[in-house]
Amino acid sequence: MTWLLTRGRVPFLSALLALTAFFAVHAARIGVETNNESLNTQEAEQTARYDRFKATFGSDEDLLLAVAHPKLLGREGLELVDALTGRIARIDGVRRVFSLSNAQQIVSGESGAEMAPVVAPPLDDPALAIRIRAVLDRNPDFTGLFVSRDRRVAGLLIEIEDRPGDERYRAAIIDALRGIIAEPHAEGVSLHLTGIAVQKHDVSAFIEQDQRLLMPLAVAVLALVLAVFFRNWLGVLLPLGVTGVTSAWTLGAYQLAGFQLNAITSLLPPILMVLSLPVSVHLIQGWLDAPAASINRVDRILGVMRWVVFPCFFCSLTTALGFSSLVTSSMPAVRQFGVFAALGVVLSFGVGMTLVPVGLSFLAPPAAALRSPQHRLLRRLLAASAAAATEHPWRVLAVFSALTAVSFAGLPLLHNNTDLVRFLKRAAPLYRDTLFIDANLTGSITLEFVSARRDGTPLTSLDAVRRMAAFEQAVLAHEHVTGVGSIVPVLRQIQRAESRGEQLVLPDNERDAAYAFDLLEAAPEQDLIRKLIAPDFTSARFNVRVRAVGTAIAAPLADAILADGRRLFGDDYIVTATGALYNVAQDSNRLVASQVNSFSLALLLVVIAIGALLRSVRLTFIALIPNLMPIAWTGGLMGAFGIDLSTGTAMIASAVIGVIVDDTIHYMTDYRRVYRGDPGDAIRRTTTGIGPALLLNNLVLVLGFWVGCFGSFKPTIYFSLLSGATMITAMLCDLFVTPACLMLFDRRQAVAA
Amino acid sequence: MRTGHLLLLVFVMFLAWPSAARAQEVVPARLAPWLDATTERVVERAYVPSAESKVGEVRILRRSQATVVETLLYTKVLSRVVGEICKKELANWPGNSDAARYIEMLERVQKQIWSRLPTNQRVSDRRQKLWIDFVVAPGVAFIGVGAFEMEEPHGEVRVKRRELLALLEPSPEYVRRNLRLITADAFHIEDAAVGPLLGPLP
Repeated sequence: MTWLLTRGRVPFLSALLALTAFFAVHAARIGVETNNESLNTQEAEQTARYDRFKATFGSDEDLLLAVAHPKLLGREGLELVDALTGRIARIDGVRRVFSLSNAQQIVSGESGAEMAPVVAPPLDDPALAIRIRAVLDRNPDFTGLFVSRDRRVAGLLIEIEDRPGDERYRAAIIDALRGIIAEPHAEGVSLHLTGIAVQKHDVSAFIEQDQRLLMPLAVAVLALVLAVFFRNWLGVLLPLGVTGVTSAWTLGAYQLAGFQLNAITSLLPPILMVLSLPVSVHLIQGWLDAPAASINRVDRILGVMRWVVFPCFFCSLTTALGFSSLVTSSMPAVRQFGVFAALGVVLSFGVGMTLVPVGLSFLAPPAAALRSPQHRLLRRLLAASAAAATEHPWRVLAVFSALTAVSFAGLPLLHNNTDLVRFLKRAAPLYRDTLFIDANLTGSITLEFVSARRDGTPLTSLDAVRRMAAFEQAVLAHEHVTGVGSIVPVLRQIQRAESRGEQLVLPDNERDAAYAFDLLEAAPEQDLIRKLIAPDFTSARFNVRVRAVGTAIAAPLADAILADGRRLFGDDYIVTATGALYNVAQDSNRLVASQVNSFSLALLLVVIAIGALLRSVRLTFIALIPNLMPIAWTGGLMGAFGIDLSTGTAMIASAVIGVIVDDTIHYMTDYRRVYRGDPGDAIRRTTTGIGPALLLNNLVLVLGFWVGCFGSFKPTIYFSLLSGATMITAMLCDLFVTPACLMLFDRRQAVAA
Repeated sequence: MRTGHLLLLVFVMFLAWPSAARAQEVVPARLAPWLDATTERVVERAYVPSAESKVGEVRILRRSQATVVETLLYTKVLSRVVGEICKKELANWPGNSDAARYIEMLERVQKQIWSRLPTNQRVSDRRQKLWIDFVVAPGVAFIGVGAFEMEEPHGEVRVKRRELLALLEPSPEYVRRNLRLITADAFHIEDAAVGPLLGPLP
């Protein structure tokens, strides 16, 4: 080490610079994921089922454009819808556009059922609106999908081509549509766009936007805090240097591993910056506080290193273990976050323990220990906390235990809920547009169900048709369901046209049922029919349109519909659920379940690490109390304020446990170092001695995490906010509960002796 | 079986016989040879509307001295195909009484074939099979329409059994011109190319 601080400084810095440049180049090349693939779990059966669905019925990621017009069914309104339909259909990557202007109804023709346009020319017919209203009243299935109930909003269903490997065309389509929306329109006319593809597009755009904002903000916040605390330029530059090197290396490795940033890992850059600071802060604080007698700069640095290396190593270890526990998650994005946050922490320890000493070796040590006015104020506050813990340990524990008990009341109120739309802020275009479409047209999200006979025979029998119709009616009876797209309404229209009747009824005998399918087989609109039933009629799709709800509602709704399906179809049929929303709901449930495993693993690893450091079962137990309390408080707080467990918030406990335990490790290590038989004295010396550094570390961590509050996604905002809040409460527990427990532990030992 | 039951069965069969017999068209003796498929030779055939999506085929046949343009339809949506034929017929023969009678006959036979499909049980082959023969023979020109049964060795349709359900003797000009129109349409050829394909008509 002496070599490194003397002759080895230049080679070391050169090598560090070269490596950092290499990784920085790669870090700068990190892309942003455009399809949210890493937010889906890799559950084999679920993926295979969804692939089969897409292979049979096509993608379920259609876009929905709503056109509000005060005279929609008049000439101007219909011409606008027609113009938009044609214009959008010409955009590269758009397969088809279905709208009021090209919708077909099934009517009685000379030889039975035949297709006829809903909007038949001439458009300057004075009775046009009356004519179209009559058609819409006669075909209730169009309402909700192509036109609102009040006939003022039209829906354009935009089917997108599937181009595997092409990550750009969807974004180009959405940009083109947003361009059309932004154009000036007549008074009272507005356009609104939603769909899964829009969600993916906007998530990518927000990630890029957040990267541009959060990184500079994190640097500014950290620099400010360090400057205020140290009032010394090296106290700012050296920690930021460690942060820069760590971030470059970790993000470079992330890019080299072939990953792109997603909604979760977009938090990595600011969090890496925060997590890589503590080692530097402890080293610089120790160097500044070292006794003036140690004037040899190398000896002074080595002394500080010997003092902090052990606790810093264990702190880094526990933090890394906490994050690495996320590898048990079923979601790739969470696993990537855990692995690379842990890697960053380990790297920051190595870089901090070398770069900071080398940097300090260039400087002349201060003649006297740093004593700033803030420190005096802080130390008075810290002395007061130490006094409270040593003089009234039972009261302190009673107060904190009572708070914990209260927080337990909020835990049952926690809900597992992933709401892709409400993840965004209210001002986000997708949020506003989705809720508009939800209120005026059909539900903006869909659950997909597929029914098939076990023996693989077609669903063309009268029995199969009746079972499909019964299932359709059962689905429609569920709350939150706004409509069901299936082959059943088409069969009703065919039967009405064939029988030349007025009522929408299903075929009532085998011949008519089979004939309806014969007509479907021979129909010209095969693309549309293939979206509802397999070409060989062996499996049928039920596209259940649902209001924009989160997975807390969607998951049990899907289960209830699946139960209906199994009951109504019987043992001879297979009914399965799939689709983008269903998969998100399943992933969300799996994520929370896996986070429980992650937290258990993190806790176990942290206990082992603390046990190895303290070599005392009782002290390890004491160390856990001030760290579990704040996590329980945060959980209770989330339950009380209705903050859902979701992709981001479910990670808090696992990620934070490894961070907050660091203060406890530093505190207990220092306590044992200064303990001379009087626990009260040791607590006072520990609290006022390392308290300022702990507070600074916490302040840096909290502010660093809170930088994420300026992000675009609520789960990451909540993750940042609540992680920071947990760190504050954990600090309070370390300043009150830990010393109170140590006091009581010492008394029991004294009594036992 | 008791004697009473046997008598009842005989009585029912007696009642049923005339109606079954009525379903089968009676062929006049002078036309019968030209409907006898046992002697026919297939000159040319074409799937309609195309080989990729066929609902039937049109064949040019020689039955002794007669030239026959036979349309075999085997489709699940026979009413649609017949509807399309009727549309073309009306377009080709506006206001023509022979065309009107032909259309009426065709629709009646189609409904008759449709009604034979069982309503309350599923059948494996739901295709409804209808044949239409435009026959030009020495001294006679007529149209025969009926149902048939078929087999498909190696994907080629072979008629196993034919049943005449309707017969029409319109003007010879109507039959002769329709022969040419159907051939041109089915084989996708110009009118000038029809003659060599059909050969000299009797």
